Amino acid sequence: MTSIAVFETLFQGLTLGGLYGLIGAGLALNFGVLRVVNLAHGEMITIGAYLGVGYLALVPELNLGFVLVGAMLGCAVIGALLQTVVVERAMATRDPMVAMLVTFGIAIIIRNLLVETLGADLRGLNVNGLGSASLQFGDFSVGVLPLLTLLIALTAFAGLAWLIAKTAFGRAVRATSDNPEIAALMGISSKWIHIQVSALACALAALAGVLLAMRSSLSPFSGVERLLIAFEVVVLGGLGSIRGALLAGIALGLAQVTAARFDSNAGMLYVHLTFLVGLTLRAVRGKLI
Amino acid sequence: MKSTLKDILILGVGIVIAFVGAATIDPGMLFLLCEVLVLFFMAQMWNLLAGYGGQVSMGHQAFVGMGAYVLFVLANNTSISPWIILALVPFIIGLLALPLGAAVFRLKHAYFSIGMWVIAEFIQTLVIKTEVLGGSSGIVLRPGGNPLKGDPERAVFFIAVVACFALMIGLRRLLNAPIGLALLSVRDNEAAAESAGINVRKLHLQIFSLSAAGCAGAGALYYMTVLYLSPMDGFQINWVVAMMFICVVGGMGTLTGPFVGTLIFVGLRETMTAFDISGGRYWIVMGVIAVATLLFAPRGLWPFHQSLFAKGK
Repeated sequence: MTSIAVFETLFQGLTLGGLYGLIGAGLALNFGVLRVVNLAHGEMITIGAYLGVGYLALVPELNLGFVLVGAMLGCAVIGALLQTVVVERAMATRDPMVAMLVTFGIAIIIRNLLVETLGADLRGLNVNGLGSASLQFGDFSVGVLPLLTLLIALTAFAGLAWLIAKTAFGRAVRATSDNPEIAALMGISSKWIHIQVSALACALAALAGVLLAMRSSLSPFSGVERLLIAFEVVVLGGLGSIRGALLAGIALGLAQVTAARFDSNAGMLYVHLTFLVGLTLRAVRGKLI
Repeated sequence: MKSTLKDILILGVGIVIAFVGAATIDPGMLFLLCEVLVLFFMAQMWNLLAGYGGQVSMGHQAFVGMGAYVLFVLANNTSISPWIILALVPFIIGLLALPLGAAVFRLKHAYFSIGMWVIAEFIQTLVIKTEVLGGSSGIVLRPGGNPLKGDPERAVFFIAVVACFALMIGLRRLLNAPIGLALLSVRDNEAAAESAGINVRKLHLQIFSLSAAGCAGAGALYYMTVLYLSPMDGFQINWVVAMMFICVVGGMGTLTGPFVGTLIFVGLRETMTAFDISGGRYWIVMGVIAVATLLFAPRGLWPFHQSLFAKGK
């Protein structure tokens, strides 16, 4: 490989990894506070992307900012509703497996609703021809979309870290995650925190979902693959570590992009392999979740 | 040994039913019944691990696909009868599951669930990319290079009925044996069970291997009637979704629950197909039923029905 190819691969891996980190951060946040692994997270990512498709169908000239914010808001509302109406009730059974199976049921319902209403075919998402625009730096040409994606992902990460570490909301979230009973004694409504956290996780999912769909493609079945990546990010990055999620996301993104150079139809094989190797190494070192 | 005599009698009745059924029922109905029995068998094996062991696996489709692939590949490339290979499949996959389980049980609870899912996806992608196994286009069952002779669904039905009877008897005995009591104590309080001297890791590995072996055998049996196997079909997530829905709706951690669940699962599908509703819309309805059951009768419909009955007395 030439140095340009190496640079391009690294850059692609970095942008993809940033998005993987984001979907992982959403899942980790949800699990950290609710103690429920949300198996519908992948479907939230897909819904976010379809919302983007929908907005663009209504207003073809809509710019990326509005598409992203619109998708995030839409998904946040859906996430908050699902949390209030379904997941919170399932959590009342005090069996985390029941709640997880409920989210799995929701995922199947959403996936098949998408198939029935929008069709099962693959489609792309193109916002104002951003996918093909590029900037020239001497010999390097850098796509505008990957550059924007990386900037947006890093901004979202910084924003999330700030929100959790510095604000009153973040303090309440951390308190509920550490000790829900004491947090409740201090006047924090755990139900309200659950709803807010679900909305935030879904908004992050939608943000990554739109950008992922712009990068590759979209179908009602994309959710499964993306849920598994989010999960791998959480396990490798460590729970409750926002920086860990970013690093794990980048590792998996790099693995996927590098493998694709040598083996173009590898799909997620090497991403899963990276995860399984990482898991085994940790098992050997005796450090496990 | 009164109970042993009873078990032998029940198994004898099962063999008679299997024989009469296999000889008289028409092929189309046999095919459907084979699927029902196979689904029930798989759901019961998933139930052993999830309902009794407390370990919810989202990757059991891996064992279904692996069992079927072992059967197809061995039958096509050797001169051994496929029926003998079928009998060996559970042992092969059960042994393979031991090292796999040792690795994946390092993940706890929800992490175990999704860790299994990742492994299933990994194995599926691996098979798609392996040309020797037929790649993405799959393989046709041609034992020793020739098409399978006779009506396989008659033999498959016979085996499936006997296997389901044997499974119910076996599971009942297993759960009443020391290992079954240990299993229940671990599910209800892992720390307490461990302090009472139970080797939780070993116990979980044993039932994981058993559950994998059962699903592999059922998978191989099912694809014996289909005669064609592809990675998109053998490793599809719908296998584990079916096992989960059947157990959740019928009642996890009971032996009767999966029976009720299978009746609802297949009954609903056949009814909806009769009204020309199938595919995605069926899964939506089944998903709603599963979620509603988890919310309003988290232990499943069979235990719920029993509790209603108990209150009525």
